[in-house]
Amino acid sequence: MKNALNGWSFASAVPILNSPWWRDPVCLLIILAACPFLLDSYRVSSLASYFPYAMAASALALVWGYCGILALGQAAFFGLGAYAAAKGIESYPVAPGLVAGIFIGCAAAGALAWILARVSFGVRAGAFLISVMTFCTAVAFEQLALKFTSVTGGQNGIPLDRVLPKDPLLSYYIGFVVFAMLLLGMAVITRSNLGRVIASVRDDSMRIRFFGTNAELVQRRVFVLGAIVTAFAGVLDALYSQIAAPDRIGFAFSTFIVLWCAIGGRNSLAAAAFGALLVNMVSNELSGIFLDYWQILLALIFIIVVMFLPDGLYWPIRVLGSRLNAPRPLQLEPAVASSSHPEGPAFVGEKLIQRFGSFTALDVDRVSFDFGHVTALIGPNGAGKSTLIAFLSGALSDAHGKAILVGKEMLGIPIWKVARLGVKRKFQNPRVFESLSVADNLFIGARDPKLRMRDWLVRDQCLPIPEDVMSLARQHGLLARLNDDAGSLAHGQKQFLEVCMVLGSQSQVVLLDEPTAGMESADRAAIGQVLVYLARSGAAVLIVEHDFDFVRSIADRILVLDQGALIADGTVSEVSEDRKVRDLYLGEGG
Amino acid sequence: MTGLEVEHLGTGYGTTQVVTDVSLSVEPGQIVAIFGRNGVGKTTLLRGIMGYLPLSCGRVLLDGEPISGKRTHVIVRAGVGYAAQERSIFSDLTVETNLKLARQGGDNREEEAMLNCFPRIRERMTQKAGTLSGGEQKMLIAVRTLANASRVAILDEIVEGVQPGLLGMFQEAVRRASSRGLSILLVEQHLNYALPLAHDFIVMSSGRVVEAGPVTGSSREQIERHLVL
Amino acid sequence: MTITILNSFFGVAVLILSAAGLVVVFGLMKVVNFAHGEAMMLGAYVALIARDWMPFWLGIVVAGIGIGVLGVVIERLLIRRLYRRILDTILATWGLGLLIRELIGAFDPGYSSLDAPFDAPVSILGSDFSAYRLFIIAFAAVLLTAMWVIERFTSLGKTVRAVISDPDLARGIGINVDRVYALSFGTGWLLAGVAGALLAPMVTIAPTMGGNFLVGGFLTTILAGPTLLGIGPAAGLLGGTGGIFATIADATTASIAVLVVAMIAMKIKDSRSGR
Repeated sequence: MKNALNGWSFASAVPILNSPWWRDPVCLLIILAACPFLLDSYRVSSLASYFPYAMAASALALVWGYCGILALGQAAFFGLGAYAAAKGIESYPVAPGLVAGIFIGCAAAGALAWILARVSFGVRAGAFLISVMTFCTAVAFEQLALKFTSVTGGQNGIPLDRVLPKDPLLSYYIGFVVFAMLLLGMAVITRSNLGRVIASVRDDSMRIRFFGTNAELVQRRVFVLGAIVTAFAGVLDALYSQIAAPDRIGFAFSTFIVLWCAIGGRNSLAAAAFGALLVNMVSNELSGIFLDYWQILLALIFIIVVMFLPDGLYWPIRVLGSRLNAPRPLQLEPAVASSSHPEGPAFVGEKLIQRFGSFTALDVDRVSFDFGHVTALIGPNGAGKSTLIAFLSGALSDAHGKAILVGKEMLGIPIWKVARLGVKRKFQNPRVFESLSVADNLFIGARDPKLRMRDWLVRDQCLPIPEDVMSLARQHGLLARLNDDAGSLAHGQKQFLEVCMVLGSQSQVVLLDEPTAGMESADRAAIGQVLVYLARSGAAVLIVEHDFDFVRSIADRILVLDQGALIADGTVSEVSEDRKVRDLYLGEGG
Repeated sequence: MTGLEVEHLGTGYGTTQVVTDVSLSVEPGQIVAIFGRNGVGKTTLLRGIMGYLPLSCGRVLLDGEPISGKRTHVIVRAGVGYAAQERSIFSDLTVETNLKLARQGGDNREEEAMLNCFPRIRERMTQKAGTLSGGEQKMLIAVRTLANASRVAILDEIVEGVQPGLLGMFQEAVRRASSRGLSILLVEQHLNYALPLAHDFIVMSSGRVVEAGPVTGSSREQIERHLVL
Repeated sequence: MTITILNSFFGVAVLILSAAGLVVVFGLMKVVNFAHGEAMMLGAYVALIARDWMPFWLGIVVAGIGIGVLGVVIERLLIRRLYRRILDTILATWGLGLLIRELIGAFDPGYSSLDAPFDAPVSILGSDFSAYRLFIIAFAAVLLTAMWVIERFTSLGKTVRAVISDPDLARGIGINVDRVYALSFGTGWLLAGVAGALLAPMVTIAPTMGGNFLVGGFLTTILAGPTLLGIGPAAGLLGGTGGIFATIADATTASIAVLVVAMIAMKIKDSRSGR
C-alpha cells in the first residue's frame, strides 16, 4: 500500500498539471472563459479589447523570454497589422478587406522582422544590437504614420466601422477564441523539440553552434514568427478599438508591451499575457491623478522586476510549480553504434597561422591526427592548445593556411557547419545549458541538428543514446537528476554532462579541452575508458590534458605545442624521451 | 611579522575550488619560488592573493595587516606589485605610457634603476607596447612591476618565452629589487632561472602545497620529482 | 546648395551631440544607455526652467552638472549591480527612461519652447543661415576635438584607454576601475544634459522628446564602434544622408533613409570585419 502511494502525486493524477506548457495556458484560459460570468458587461468589453495586448505580450515572451531576443520595437509590427487591417476594411468590403489586411499586415511585419534579423543577428553582433535596431525602427514607423497623413490619417488615425458583433459577450468570445488558438499554438512550439533548441539558443547562443545548430537561423525564425503574431494582434486591436492610430506603432507602446511581459513574467507565455490583461484592467479602473501615479508605480515595479525578479508575477507559480511538476523524463534507449567511420587522417593542417593582433597564437607547419586513435595535445600555458581546439571547431574565422577536416576544406566554414561534419567540442570550463533540464541537455547533445517540420510540433520523449555514454551518465548520477536544471549540478557533474552531450551524438571527431580538470582520478579513468572505447569504434579523439599519467594511459599519440609551434609528435614513449619536451617541462637543461 | 603572509588560503572559480589550504610567507628581502606542473593552481593562488578571486577560506596579510577582501587596486596601491602571466601589457599604448600608468606616486627613481637593468626597454619608449617582441614585453612587465612595488612583488612566469641568454638580466633585476627590501614571490616553470634566485621553494600539486622548504643542494631533485612527465 | 550643405553639417552636429554621451558609456562600460534620450530631455527642461533665473549659458552649465551628478547616482544605484548582465542594463535603463518620462509627465508640462539666445541669420556665401545653428556646428566640432585630445593626450584619457582595453590589468596596476566607470557614466549623462540644453531651442520640449535624439545617437554609436574617433565618420555619413534627403524630400523620409543607410553600413562593416 505504501509503495503504491509512493509514486503518486496530485500532479501525476491530473496529467495536464504535469507540464507548465499546458498547465499555464489552460489555467489562464479557464479563468478567462469564466470572466464574463463574473464581471459586468462594461468590464467584459474592456477585457475583450485587451486580448490583442495579451497576444503581443505572449509573442514577446516567445521572442525574449524563450529565445533571449530583447525586442524593444514590437509596436512597429503591431501597428503594421492595425494599419493594414484598417486600410483593407476601408478600401474593400469587410470580409475580403479583413483577409487582405491580415495577409498584408502579417507579411509586411514578417518581412520587416526578417530584415532586422539579417542586420542584427550573427556571431559577432552584440546581444544589444537587436534591441537598438528594433527600437529605432519603432520610432521611425511612428514618424512615418504621423507624416503620411493621406494614407494613415496622421494624428487622427484611420477610424473603422464596427466589424465585430454588437453583443459584448459574443465579441468577447471571438477575441477569446483567437487568443486561445494563438496562445496554444505558441505553447506547442515552446514545448516542441524546436522549443528545446530555442531555449538553448537563449542560454548560450555560441555553445549551441558547436552542436551543429545554426543559431542565427533559429533566432531569425523565432523573431519573424513573433512579429507575425504581433501583427495579427494589431489587426484584432484595430477591430476592437475601431481605429488604427499612431499611438499603437511608436516606442511608447513598445515600452508598454515590454512592461506587461516583464511584469507578468517573460518566461511564460501565459504569464506575459496575464501581465498585459492585469495591468490594463487596473489602469482601466483608475483615472486622473491616480493614473499618473499608477504609471510611475508601474515604471518603478518594472525596474524592480528587472533588478530582482526576472520571473515577474509568475515567480510564485514557478516556485510552486517546480514542486508540482513531474514532467515525464526523457526515455533513454540504447543506440545502435554506427561503425562506418572512415580510415586514415581525420584532420590534416598545413601552414596554419592564427594571430591575435600582434600576438601569434598558432604557427604550425603541419599537424594531423587520425581516426581510430586517441591523440593527446600537451604543452605549457599559452602554447596554443586551446587555440588549436578552437580552430578545429571552426571558431576562428581569420586563420590562414590549409586545413582538411573529415575530408573537407574547413577554413571559412561557420561553426555550425563544421559541427555538422561530425566534429564536437568539449570546452575547458563546462558549458552546458544551465536553465534546461539534464534530460534536455542530453537531448540537445544527441539530436540531429537539422530542423525538420516535425520539430516545430513534436516533443520527442524517447532518445537514442550510445550505451557507454548512458552508463557513464548513470554512474555519475545524471540519470537520477534528469528533471533538474543543469545549472543546479555540481561542477564535476556538469563536466560529465557536457562529456555525455558531446559523446552522445556519435561524432566522427571529438575535441576535448581538459575534460578532466578538477576531477578525482577514478572519474578521470571513467572518462578515459569512454574515450578509448570511442576511438576503438573508429572516431578520432583529440584531448588537451596536463596530467601525463592520464595521457599515458589513454593516448596512442602525443602532439606537443610550445609558443604556437608543434615541437614534437609521436608515441608516448617517443615524446617522453624527446629532449626538447624534457627541456620544456623541466626548464632549460633540466 | 612583516612581508607577505598567506594563511590557509582556498579559492577558485565559481563553485570550483582550485586552491585548497595554501599557507606561505615571504619576508622582506626574501625570494620564494612556487613550482608545479601546469594546471595545479599556481596562477589561481596568485589571483586569489591579488583580490581578483574571492577567497573561500583563509586570509592574506601584508606587514601584519589583512588585505584579503580588499579590492585589487587597493592591494596594489598598498605596495603589492603583480605581473600576470598572460599578455599583461596594454598593447595599444606606448611603452612609456604603460610605465606611467602604473606609477604609484611621483617618484620614478626605481624605474630608472630597473631601466638600467633592461636598457632595451629604454630604447623602445615611444613604441607601442604591442610591437615589442615576446621577450621585450616580459622585460616591460618586469620593469613595471618591480619598479612600482614598494613592499611585495608577485611575478607569474616572468621569463616564459624569454631567450636563455637574457635570463641573467631578469635575475639581476629581481635581485636588485629584493635588495631594497621587497618580498618577492615567483611562480616558475624554469628551474635554472628561479632556483639560483630563491631562498625558499614551494611545490604545488592539485591545488595544495606538497613540498616546501629552504633551497639547498638537493632541492632540484625534490622539485623535479614533481615536475617530470 | 550652400544651405543644404550647412543643414547637413547641422545634422551631423546634432548626431555628434546626441551620440557623444552614449559613446563614452558604451565604449567604456559596454552599457547601452536607453535612458540617454531622457537625460537629454531633462537637460532641455533644466535649460527651460533656468531661463527665468539665469543667463542661457549658465543654464547649460547647470544642466550638464546636474544631469552628470544624476548619472553618477544612477550608476551607483542601478548599473553597478548589473555589470556583466548586458541585457539587464538595457532593460534597467529602458525602465529608468520610462520612469523619468512618467515623472516629468506627471507635472503635465505639455509642449514648451525655448528661444535661442541669438537667432539673427548670418549671411554665408550669399545665403542666410541661423547663427545659433552655426554655433551648434562649431560647438560639436570643438566637443569632438576636445574629446579626442583628452582621449589621446591626457593622462585621464590614457587611464580610460587602459580600462577599455583590459579592466583586469588596469586593476592590477592600481587603477580604481569602479571609479572610472562611475565617472564615465556621469560624463555620459553630463554630455547628454549639455546636448539636451543646447538643442532645446531647436525642438519642441516635451517628456517624449528624447526618442528621436536617441535613434540618431544609437545609430551613430553603433556605426562608430567603441572609439570616440569613430563618431566623426559615422555622424558624417548619417548626417550627410539625412541632409540630402531632407532637401530632396522631407524630414521623415530623411530619418527613414538614415535608418536604411545605417543598416546597410552595419552589414558592410560586419562582413568586412569577418575577413
